[in-house]
Amino acid sequence: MVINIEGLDFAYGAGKQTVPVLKNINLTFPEGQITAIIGQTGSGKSTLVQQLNALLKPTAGEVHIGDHTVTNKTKEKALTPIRAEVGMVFQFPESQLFAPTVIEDVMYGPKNFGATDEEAKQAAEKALAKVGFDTSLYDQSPFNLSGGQMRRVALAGVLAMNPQTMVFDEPAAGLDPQGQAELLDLLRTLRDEGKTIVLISHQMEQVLALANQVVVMKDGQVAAHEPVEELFARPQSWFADQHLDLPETIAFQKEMEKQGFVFDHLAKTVDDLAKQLAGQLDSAKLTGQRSDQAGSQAQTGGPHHE
Amino acid sequence: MTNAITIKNLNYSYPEQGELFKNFDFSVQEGEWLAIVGHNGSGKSTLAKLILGLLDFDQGEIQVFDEKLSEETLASIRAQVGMVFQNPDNQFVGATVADDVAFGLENRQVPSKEMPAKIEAALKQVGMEDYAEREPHTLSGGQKQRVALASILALHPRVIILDEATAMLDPEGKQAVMETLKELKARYQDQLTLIMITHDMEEAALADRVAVVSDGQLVFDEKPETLFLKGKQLAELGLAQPFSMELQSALGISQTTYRTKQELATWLSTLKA
Repeated sequence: MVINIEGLDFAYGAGKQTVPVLKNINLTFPEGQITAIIGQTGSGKSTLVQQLNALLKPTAGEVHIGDHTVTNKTKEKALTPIRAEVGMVFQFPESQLFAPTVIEDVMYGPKNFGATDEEAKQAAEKALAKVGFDTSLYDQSPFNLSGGQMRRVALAGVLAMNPQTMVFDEPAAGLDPQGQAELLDLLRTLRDEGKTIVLISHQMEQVLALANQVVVMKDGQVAAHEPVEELFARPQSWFADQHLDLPETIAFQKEMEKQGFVFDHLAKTVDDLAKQLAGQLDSAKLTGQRSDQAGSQAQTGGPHHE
Repeated sequence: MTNAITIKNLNYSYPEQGELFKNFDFSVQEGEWLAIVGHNGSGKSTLAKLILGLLDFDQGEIQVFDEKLSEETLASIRAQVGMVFQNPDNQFVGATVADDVAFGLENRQVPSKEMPAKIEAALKQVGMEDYAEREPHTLSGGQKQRVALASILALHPRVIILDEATAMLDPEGKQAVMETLKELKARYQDQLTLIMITHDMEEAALADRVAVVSDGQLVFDEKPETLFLKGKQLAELGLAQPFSMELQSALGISQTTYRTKQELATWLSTLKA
C-alpha cells in the first residue's frame, strides 16, 4: 500500500485561531520500504504521521492512502476503514493496555473491526508469536509484566489487525539493547513482507540501520527527503542546524577525518568503521601501544589476529 | 561513611511471576552517584519501588539513613527520598510550573509566604526559572523532567532516584537533564545521593559506581571504568557497552583501558600510519 501526500497544509484550530503546523508537504511512502521521519521535538513529525491514518485531516491538499483519498471534506465515516489498514504504534504503547489478560488485550483490535472470537484469537496468537511473546503468559494480566514484555503485547495488538502500513513512533525507547535489536528485526521482517513502514526515531543508529529513505522535518516543513546514505553524507554543520545528532559511527568518522583519516564510504556498523580505520593505523605502533596499555594482562588479553 | 540506603536479606516475589529478590544485600553510601543498570525485567525498577515503599517486600529489611522502612517511617522516608519517573507526562499536578513545585511544599505545610522564594530557588537549580508561569503541557520532555526534579529539590531530599528518567526524551532533552544532574551533584556534593536507573551506558559512565542487576541478582558492582572493560560479559547480560569500547574491541585493542570517545579519537590519531 502506497501513501502519497500532495500539497498538504495542516493547522490546528479554526477561523482566526488557527495555528499552522505543517506547510506544503509532498511525500511518498513506498511499499516494502522503511521511511524514517526525523526532526527536533516540535518539528511536526507526530502531526505528520497522524495524517497517514486520517486521525487528522489535511487543512488543504490531499492524502492518498491506498485506494482512499482524504481531504478536508472527507466524511468521518469514510475514514474508519483506513484505521484498520494503517496501524499506529504510538510512543510507549504499553500505557494503553487495558484488558484483564494479555490475550484479550491483543484480541480487542480485531474484534473491534468485526472479527469473531475465534478469528480474533487466531489473529492474536499469530501476532503474539511474531513479537516473540512467551505463550505461557497469555492469560497473565498485562500489568504484571516487565516493561519489555508489555511493549510486545502492545505491538501485537496492532499487528493482530494485519495492517498494510504500520507507523511506529519511537518504538524502541526504553527497551534494553536486546529488546531493541529484536524490535529492529521485527521491523525488517514486516518490511520484507511488503508492508509500508514509517518510523519516527530520535536514535540515529536505528535510522541508519533500518531506513531506506529519510524525511527530515523542520518547523513543519520537509527539510530533506532522500536515501539514508545521501542524508548522512551531509556535513556535520547541517545536522547541528537541524538540532540532530549523527549516528555514532558516522560522527566518529567525521571526527577522524579532521585528523587526516580518509574513508571511502559511510560506516553503517562499528565493525565497518573499525575495518576502515585499521588500514590507516600504523600496525607496529598499534601493537606497541597494545602491549604498553595491556601491561601485566597482556598474556590473557593478547594481541588480536585477523 | 554513612549509608544512605541499606538493604539486608531482602526477599520479594512478583504477584504472579514468582521470586525476584532472594536474600538480596545492597547498600548506597551517602553522597554517592550510583547507576543501576540491567535488562528489562531485571528488577531494577522494582528495587526503587521497594525502597520508596511503593511495593511491599516479603522478608528482610530496608533502611534509609537510620530509619527502618515500615508503615510508621514511610512518610519520613519519603520526605528524604525523591523519585523522578520515566514518563514526564504522568507527574504533573499543577496548572503552571510554579504551581507544580508549590504542590509538594503545600503538602509539607510550608508557610505560603516562604513559598515563592523556595519555588524560584528550586527552578533556578534546574535552569527553568524563566518558565515558572508556563503550563506544563507546553514544555518539552526534557524541560518537564527538569521541573519534576525542581519539585523534588524544593523539598530538600537527601536521596534522588531517577527511574529511566531520560528514556522518553530526545537527545537534547537527555543532555539537558544529565547536565542538570552534574550541576546538582557539584553543588550538593556529599549532601545529595543520586541513584540513576538506566539502560544508557553513556549515562552510567557519569556515575561513581555502577550496579548491574540481572534477575534479581547483583552481578557486577564497581566503577564504570572497570565495568566497561567487561564487554563480553555485559553483552551476555543483554547490555551494551559504550560506543568507544565497542570500537576498541572491533579494532582488536585489548580491553584494559577505558577511553571516552574523545580520548579514543585523540589516541588513534597518534597511531596514524
